[in-house]
Amino acid sequence: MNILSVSDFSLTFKNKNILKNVHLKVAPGQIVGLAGESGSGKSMTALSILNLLPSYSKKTGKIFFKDSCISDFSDKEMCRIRGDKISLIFQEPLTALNPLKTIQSQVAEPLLIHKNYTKREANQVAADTLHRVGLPKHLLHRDVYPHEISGGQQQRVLIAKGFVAKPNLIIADEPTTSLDVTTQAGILKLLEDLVKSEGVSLLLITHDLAVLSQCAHRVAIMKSGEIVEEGETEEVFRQRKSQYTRKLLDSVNYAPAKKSKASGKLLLSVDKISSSYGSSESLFASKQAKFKVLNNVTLKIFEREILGVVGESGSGKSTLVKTILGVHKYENGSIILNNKKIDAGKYIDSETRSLMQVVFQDPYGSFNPRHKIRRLVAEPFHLVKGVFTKKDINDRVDIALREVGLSPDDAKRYIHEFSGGQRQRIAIARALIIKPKLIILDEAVSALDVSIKAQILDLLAELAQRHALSYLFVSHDLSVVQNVSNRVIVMQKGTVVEEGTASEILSFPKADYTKKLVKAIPKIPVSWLSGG
Amino acid sequence: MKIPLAFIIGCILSFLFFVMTIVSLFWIPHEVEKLNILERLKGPSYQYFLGTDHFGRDIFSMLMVGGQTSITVALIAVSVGMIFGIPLGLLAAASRQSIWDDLIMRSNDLIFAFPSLVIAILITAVFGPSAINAIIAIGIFNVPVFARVTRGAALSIWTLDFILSARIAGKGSLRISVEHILPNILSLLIVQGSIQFSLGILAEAGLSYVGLGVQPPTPSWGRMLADSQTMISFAPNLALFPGITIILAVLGLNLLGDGARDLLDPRLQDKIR
Repeated sequence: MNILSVSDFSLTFKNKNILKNVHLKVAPGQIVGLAGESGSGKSMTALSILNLLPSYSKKTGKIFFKDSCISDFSDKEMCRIRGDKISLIFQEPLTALNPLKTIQSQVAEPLLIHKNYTKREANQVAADTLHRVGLPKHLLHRDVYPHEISGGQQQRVLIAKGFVAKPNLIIADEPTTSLDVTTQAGILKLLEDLVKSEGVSLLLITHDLAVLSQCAHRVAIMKSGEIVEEGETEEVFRQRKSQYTRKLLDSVNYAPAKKSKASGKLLLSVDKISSSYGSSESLFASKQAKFKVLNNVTLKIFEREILGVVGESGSGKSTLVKTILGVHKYENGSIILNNKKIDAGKYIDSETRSLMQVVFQDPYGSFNPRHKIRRLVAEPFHLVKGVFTKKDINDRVDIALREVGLSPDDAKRYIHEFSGGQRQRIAIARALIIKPKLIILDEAVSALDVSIKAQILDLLAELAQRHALSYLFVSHDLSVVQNVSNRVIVMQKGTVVEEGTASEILSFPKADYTKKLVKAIPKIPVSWLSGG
Repeated sequence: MKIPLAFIIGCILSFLFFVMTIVSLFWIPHEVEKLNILERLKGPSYQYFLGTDHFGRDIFSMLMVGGQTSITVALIAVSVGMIFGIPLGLLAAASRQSIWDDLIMRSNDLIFAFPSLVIAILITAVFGPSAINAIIAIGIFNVPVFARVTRGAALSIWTLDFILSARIAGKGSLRISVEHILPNILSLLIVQGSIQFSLGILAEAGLSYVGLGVQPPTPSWGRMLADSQTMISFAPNLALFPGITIILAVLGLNLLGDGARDLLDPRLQDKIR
């Protein structure tokens, strides 16, 4: 008998279809993966199962938990199921934990509500569970608060909370998406272990097919509210019955066909720079030691070269980008772009500045929402003031928009009218407009869905060819970086730990950290991808 | 586009308030500076729309003329607050974590530390009670309000990526503040402005109530309330009508500011549609 079966479930919000005839089954002790791009209805499916939908939603179809039809349950009845029989693990561990309560009391909460434990018993069980999910000993005592532990540990606390009441089904909504790859590997291992040893079922919702290929027994692929394919994991990956699955899998390890070849001419050289935060001039700032973010970082970019920079959060990638762009100060060493020194705080002539442009990660924060596209894209022209007439600028905006696959008419619109992928195209148009030699891509594709990511990578490769551009491709995702870069450097805690060609680093990592990083990347087995 | 009901109500109330005041510049039903003891303490009638006070002056006419005082004092006071407060806030945000930021914000705290009424009494004691001194007193207290709101909102905008990209485009702090920061916090400032405007009306009424605002015989809502105090048991309409006028004016301006913010923001327009 299935723990959970969703049959013919549909959901509408104000006449808008959110879910259409969703079928889903979870057997005891099974990990079922639910994959899809953003907006495909994955999270809504999870909320439907727990009956946590907004009041204006209309639903048809049935959801069974064991024998009972929980889609007909009242809220009061559902309260007895939630947290006790079915629990949910969220994506963002920091916001899912109450910052004012100790982690132990938060883990003990389901026991107090559902199991009639005394406070003391509950705390004991909570501590045991926290130990079980791999929290180190010194964090097991009673007054540890969420902010005192790392992101990975917070996710472990959430798992402990979801698991402590021994539910039959755990729904994990993107449990590893906000974590670093090395942390992700540990969390996935933990979830797998729990499923194996305790016999619970897990509905794992994620956008990452590689993660599912490693741990799920069955997968369901979702697209705009419908499940387009469902079956044994290996079968789905090998057979790819639906066109959408094929498209998704093709874009997972997408490598643009054309790679430009680096010329011998040095464009940017960063020589042994160090940089730190916390140097405040405020009257009331504490005079504590500064926090060093970059430590003797050296790198070189040649013309027409794509240099990848990989590192986990906190490795100093973003500071490196800001330092190179001349908006963050550095202490020693030098940054030379095209024979000119770059140093924040000192005057940088606009000719040098106009040689580099940047594309940021967040397609929503990168644009002033008050300006129209034409003005946004034309902003870098400030660097070459007076050189171009207004008509020239307008023409070049039109050309740039066309080059990134948008139409000149879009120049009259506001940024909120565009999707994430389109915004990233606009950001690229803005970077291109004054014909720089170097474009810094700071996690430029990290926030995008896989299929859109592939399109953007294609566009970037094509533009690099056409305009003889160099890229500094900064990302946390080694698999993307190795597909697009000529050379890769790996950063950890503000230092460069390894440098080499992409294939060298991936196949023969030398530094311990790189080895760990390479090992932690979830990969779809090669035979699954090739075997038709 | 669907316009929210609260905004429409705000518009109507504010419109009536302004029209009433502007009309009073040219025409009022009865002279307000002439006493007519025979007609004193009349209830609402055809001749005296809202009745008369203890000197026989028409209350409706006094309310109309009193609106002039309220609007002038509040408007100039808010403008003073905006003209000084917003640039100071922008400067503080642009030079965050430097001595300028501390200097500006700590002097703000200094002004905040004094109760406004105490300063108003101080100013009046030195310069004597008048409308101008009321404006100065209210205006001074609007400066730190706007500086603080501006700085707080600007700081959150400064962390966004598009500011970084503007810096990379070679734009300086001043240009970024004017081109990127100000338009993005404008809606907030408009709301704050309308709230401060209504608070200014309240403050003027308060100062006049204790006799520190405009001096007789110029009518003022606050002093009408003060005068009516002793007669509230047998002539409640003397207190009631100025009170209701103040409430409606303040309510209308608040609703207007709130609605204006929604209409001015391109991001919010989709939701209203």
